[in-house]
Amino acid sequence: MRTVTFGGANSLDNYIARKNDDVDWLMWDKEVGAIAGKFWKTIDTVVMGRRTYEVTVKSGSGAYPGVKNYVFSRTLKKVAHKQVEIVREDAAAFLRKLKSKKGKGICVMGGGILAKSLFDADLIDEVGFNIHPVLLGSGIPLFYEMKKQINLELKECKQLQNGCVVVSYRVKHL
Amino acid sequence: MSDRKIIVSIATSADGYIARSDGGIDWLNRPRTAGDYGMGDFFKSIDAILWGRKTYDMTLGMSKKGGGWGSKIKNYVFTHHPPRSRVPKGVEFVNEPVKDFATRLRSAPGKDIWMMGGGGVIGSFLDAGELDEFIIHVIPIFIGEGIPLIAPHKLNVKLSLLSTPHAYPDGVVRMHYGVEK
Repeated sequence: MRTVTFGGANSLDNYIARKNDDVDWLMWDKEVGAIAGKFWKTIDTVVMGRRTYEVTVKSGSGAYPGVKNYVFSRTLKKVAHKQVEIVREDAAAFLRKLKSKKGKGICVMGGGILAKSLFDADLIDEVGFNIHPVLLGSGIPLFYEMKKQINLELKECKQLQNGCVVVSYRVKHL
Repeated sequence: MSDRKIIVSIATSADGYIARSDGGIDWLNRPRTAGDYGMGDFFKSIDAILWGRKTYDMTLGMSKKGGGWGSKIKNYVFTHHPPRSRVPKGVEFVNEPVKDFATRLRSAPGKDIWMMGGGGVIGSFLDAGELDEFIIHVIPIFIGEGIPLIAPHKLNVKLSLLSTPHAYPDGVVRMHYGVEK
């Protein structure tokens, strides 16, 4: 079974962007690049919601390189990139099928709206944070409210030179 | 001015909540296989506790003792509404601007001061520039919904790690930050 990972860079109070999508507080350097590069080698697919896709387009790239991109949307008409495919069916049902196929890991990109439905369907296996030393107080949350409680097992906790803390967990499936 | 520090020491779920929506903290009750997470040492370093009204009501206010954590600890409860009943010994209700209160408290001799939370009073102290450190114990659980560490409002507070984050054998992670001023 392919491993599905969710996570990203967040503030200590769990936001991934300011209200206006601004991520001016993000720190990127060689060490983070090396960690991201290592992770990238373990996956061959990213999935995202429409909102995250639109942020990706606005920021100029429009697709994550070297992997298959799936965007869940019922309204999106077309995409500019060949690597990007629009998925109209239910995200959880689609991901469940994708997970059972052969392949490398799958990464769930972006904010918590998509992740919420995937957590609810118990499809996410690992969660990774790159906790930045900042409090934003408000913004786009990494997690949307869920009715469910999920137990985790700590996989790694590592301080980076830039003052960020990388923490990852395995989801204890029911 | 003395060098008393005001320190948030609090446990959060890995999805960033300090309590369930109804204030419940049942998820904090875990097998204590990893000792006391440094809380014993921390408790020795403080002699006053700052509470938001809701947090106080849900914990100390409900206990019969009321005064709480021993005669050596002074409790300050922030509220706009004075209590209806008699206030227990060792507890003072505060309804003055955060800045004035903090300046007064810091200028009196004493140990460090524990900011217990919740999210409202933490936010007010951050806005007033009156928090010095955060000690966060992240519990390896998503509780799904609840009360956030800081009551939502616009902030841009830079922090820096004061020590290497510590991972306990049971998966709890302790992070210790200073607030950059």
